[in-house]
Amino acid sequence: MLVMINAIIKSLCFIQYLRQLYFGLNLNQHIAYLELYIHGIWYIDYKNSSRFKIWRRCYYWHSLKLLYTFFDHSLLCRGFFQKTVNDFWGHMKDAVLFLEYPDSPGDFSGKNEKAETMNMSNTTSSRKNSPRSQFFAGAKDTFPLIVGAIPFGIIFGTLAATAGLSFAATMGMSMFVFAGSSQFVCVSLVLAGTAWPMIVLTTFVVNLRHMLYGATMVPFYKDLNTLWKMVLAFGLTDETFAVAVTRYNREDGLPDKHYYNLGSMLFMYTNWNLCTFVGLTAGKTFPEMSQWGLDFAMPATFIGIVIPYLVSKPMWASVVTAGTISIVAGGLPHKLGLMVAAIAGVTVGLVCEKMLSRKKERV
Amino acid sequence: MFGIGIQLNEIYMVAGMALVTFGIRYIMFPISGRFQFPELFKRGLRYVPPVVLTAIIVPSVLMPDGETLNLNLTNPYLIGAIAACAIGGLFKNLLLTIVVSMVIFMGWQWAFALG
Repeated sequence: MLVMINAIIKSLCFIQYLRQLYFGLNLNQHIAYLELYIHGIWYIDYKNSSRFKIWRRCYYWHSLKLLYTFFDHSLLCRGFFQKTVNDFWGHMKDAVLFLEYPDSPGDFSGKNEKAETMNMSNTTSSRKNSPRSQFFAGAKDTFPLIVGAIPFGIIFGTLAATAGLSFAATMGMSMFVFAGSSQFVCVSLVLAGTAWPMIVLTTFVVNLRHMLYGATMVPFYKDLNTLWKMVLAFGLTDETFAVAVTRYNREDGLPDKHYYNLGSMLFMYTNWNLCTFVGLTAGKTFPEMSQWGLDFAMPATFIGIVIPYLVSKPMWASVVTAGTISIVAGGLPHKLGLMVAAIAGVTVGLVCEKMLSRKKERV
Repeated sequence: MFGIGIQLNEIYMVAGMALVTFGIRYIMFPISGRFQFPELFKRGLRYVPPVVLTAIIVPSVLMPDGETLNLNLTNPYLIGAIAACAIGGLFKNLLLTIVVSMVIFMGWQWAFALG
């Protein structure tokens, strides 16, 4: 794992290094850049600033770098390797900052005299506000969520293949529906032989929360044309919503935030479809996979999703009710038990919430 | 290897799901300003994901064959689910929860398939 992270960081550095070479950076700048990095000036500078959160992450890279240098020394490779490593890590600073905070041209070097005299940030400032950089920043910020979505996509593909859904239907679902949890629910309903209108109705209930996402996004999308609105609305998954709304709420007055949203959404979309395809291929290639216990992947995944929700008493009450009712009403035709359980659970949750707030008022 | 053997009801299903999902995500944009959610509805929506997921988990774990309640400790689904709850509660890590509980599930299944 560490080796992999290292390799990724190194290649990132290298790309940034090449870019710097392309934009022109002489040897003195190299050295100054390096010095700046090694002494961690920028870290101290920003330790007390409100943006410390971001800077803390940079500090983390910094410590990694020190560790790396230490190993390098102990291995007696002070010559060529040391220099290469330093070059890489020196530029990592810029790479990380560029990725972490793409919309603040020269922010990280602006407060730093050394950097200012070098005038390094000029080459990048024009790029940082462009739609393209917004697009890639969006994709980059979605990355941690993508990592979580990869196993989901693959498991979905595998399950769909073993549940008897056709290839076209599975891929079509990932392409046109693009809503992870409802797709999982759909597979479990298909497995139980449910009729399609019932599946569509269940999808409606499961995805109803997305309406809130839409409502949240209305003020942010108000200047966009209909096509943009439709495209962005199509990609309004849980993940993209979470990333995009954070970006929109950051008040820096920059335009083109919709490109950020688009980048996040397209990255998510591509990944979801690729993973579905991989899972589907695996499921078709090894049909005996259905006996490997993958059918347990779905309950396991769902439990993992539900647990973080269980932080309040009403939530507990609603979940316990839903679980009980789903067993009691399990015999209802067309999988109606699911709907009954869902409605009962939500009702109990709301009632419990109301009771608790009344109790508080009395106290 | 893959036939494009899509059935008619699968087309209906996918099309229906796509329309419903897109409709939900898009509807607020054209009607914004003219319509406000009631507060109760908004609060209710927060309960939907965990409740629906629970309503799917519980029967699939406690009634693996779809009809009879199986509360024996030989039920690998039950053991796996308990493990998943424990790991999820302790570590709050989705991937860890899935992987470890699946290993436990498979181990249990294998152990009782032998006996």
